[in-house]
Amino acid sequence: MRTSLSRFVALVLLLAFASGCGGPKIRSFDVQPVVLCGPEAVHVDWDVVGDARLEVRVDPAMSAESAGQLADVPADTLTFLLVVERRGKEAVRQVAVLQIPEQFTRDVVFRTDLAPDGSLVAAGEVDAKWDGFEIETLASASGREITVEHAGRQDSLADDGVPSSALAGLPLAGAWILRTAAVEPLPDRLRVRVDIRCRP
Amino acid sequence: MPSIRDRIDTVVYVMMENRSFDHMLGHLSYDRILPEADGLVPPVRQEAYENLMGGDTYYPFKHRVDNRLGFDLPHEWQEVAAQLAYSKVTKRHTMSGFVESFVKHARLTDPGYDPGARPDPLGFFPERLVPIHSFLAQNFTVCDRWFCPLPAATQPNKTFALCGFTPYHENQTLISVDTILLDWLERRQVRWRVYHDGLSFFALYPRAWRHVLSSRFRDIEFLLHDCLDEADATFPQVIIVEPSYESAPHIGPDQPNDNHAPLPVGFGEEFLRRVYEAVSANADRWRRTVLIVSYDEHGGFWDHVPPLRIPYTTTGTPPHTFETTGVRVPALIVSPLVEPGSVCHKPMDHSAPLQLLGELFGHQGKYSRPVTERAAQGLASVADALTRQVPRDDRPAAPSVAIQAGATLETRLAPQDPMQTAFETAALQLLEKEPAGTAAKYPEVVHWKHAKDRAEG
Repeated sequence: MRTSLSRFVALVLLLAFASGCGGPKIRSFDVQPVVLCGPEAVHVDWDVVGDARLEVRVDPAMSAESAGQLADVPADTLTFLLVVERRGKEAVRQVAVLQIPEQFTRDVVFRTDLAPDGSLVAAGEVDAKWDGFEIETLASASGREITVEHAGRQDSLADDGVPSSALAGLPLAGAWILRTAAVEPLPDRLRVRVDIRCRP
Repeated sequence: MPSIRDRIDTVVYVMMENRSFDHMLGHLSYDRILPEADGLVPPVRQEAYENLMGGDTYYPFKHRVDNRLGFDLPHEWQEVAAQLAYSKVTKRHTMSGFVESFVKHARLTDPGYDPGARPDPLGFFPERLVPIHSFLAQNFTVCDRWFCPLPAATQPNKTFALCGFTPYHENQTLISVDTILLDWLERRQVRWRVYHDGLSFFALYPRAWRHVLSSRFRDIEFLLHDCLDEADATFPQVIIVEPSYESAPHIGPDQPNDNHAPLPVGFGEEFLRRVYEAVSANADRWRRTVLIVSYDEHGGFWDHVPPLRIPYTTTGTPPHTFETTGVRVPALIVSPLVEPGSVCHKPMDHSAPLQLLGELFGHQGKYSRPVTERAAQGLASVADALTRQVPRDDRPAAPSVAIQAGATLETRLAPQDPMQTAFETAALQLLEKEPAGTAAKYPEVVHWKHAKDRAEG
């Protein structure tokens, strides 16, 4: 009994000592969502060892560009910086959040590869951070006909860039496959222009 | 016409670390300071500048402040291959994989990492934040086709610069070579000296240890004094000036200034200002001096110009063949023998300074067979950038502006990457083998070791 008690006391003392040693630690730092649709709330959660300080920096969107001006960035960026201090040391982690208007146009672009049938294919996955947006229209932005497969639907986009609404209502996130004929000049990427809006 | 040997008495060589051309000097054309330089041009949102990841597009952006980055950027050879993003369709490098490589690297330690709209590899500095680089470019020659020789990390590229060949395609702990630039200079009885700001990179080469602890390695604080007052008979013909390396052991306020990420570049700016002021201080000496400033490799930062299709096979076993050079890096030729604000478009790599040394001091004007082979592949010598037969009389004063850099003083006691491990191994072995000499030459290493021992109990 005495041995067990001594072990328990020793363990408590060891844990107390261990928790008192060392510098700051960021066990987790979660900011959701990382793409904001208009005036949406951001949920910030953290688990740290040390004194935490949260800083938020706003880098506004810049569309006008000229010599000496900021480079063009399509959306406001909110940078959430978590600074944890302990015993004179700091640990830092940051998460960037894009704040995008409720309606927005962006490109979906993937690098091309040669398909076994001789055509060109450009495929990839649009990140889940875009879950909050759905497609309104879609247009070829590569100056060539592009066949699109996305979320179980398929559409052929004309080379003149006229928008199609065949994929309207589908989420932007997920797997995309773009195909085009191997007609010179061969492009190293295929681009579709997508009008998107916040999902209801 | 005077020969190159008639025009030059002293070559000064500074190799900074881990930045790309566009990152440091892209502003020269973007802001129409030096439009002839092949840097960036507005708008930044153009396909040639685009980086791709997850269907998203990312574009360069101009830094507003010079802060310490969150972490170093990836630049091992496999990561560089991903950054160059070779297209099997167009059979060219698209330079569109820097962000993807960066995020993949970041997610190894932070699975939820998102780069936002301004990923670190795509930032470029305005003149305000790199006033000394910009000043040197505007008053001397910028080389806008200088590539690191290998699409690989620090050690292969730096070894190529210091030896004219490299046995390795990736970082080692200590670097074993059978000859190095310092041996070559000794064989030719060339007077040379290394000025170092902290532990020298040559410490990573056991072959060079006898030099590293010798009087030919001097603290950088002596550079100005020696340039001003030393007698011609002993003043070196070749000077290597080394910054304080980010990867080397540091303690207290001993601030690295080699520009290796994640450092802010302000400390490197101040270092270059001191070097320029020192080597140009003696007017007579300066008229016959060439200062070369370049970078070992791009350090994971984006550049818009694809690498040159010039292959290289490492000399080690097994050999490794790279089909191209590495990424373009900043390079400046600072001398009264160049026109102000001139641009050298000739293709170059780290063989360019060695070619110049060969022309100045080599047998039949050559440095070595590998360097001659490099020249035969179309790579120019620094001598090709020295367009003036008669030196200029002006000595432009470096801007005295205050340089602002955001940084945290840190003491790193445990190495966190292969380069830091290499420097730590070199420091510990030097301390063990030559404790008195090491303590006298590099006292900060003793201080660092003391702190390390205490931290490790």
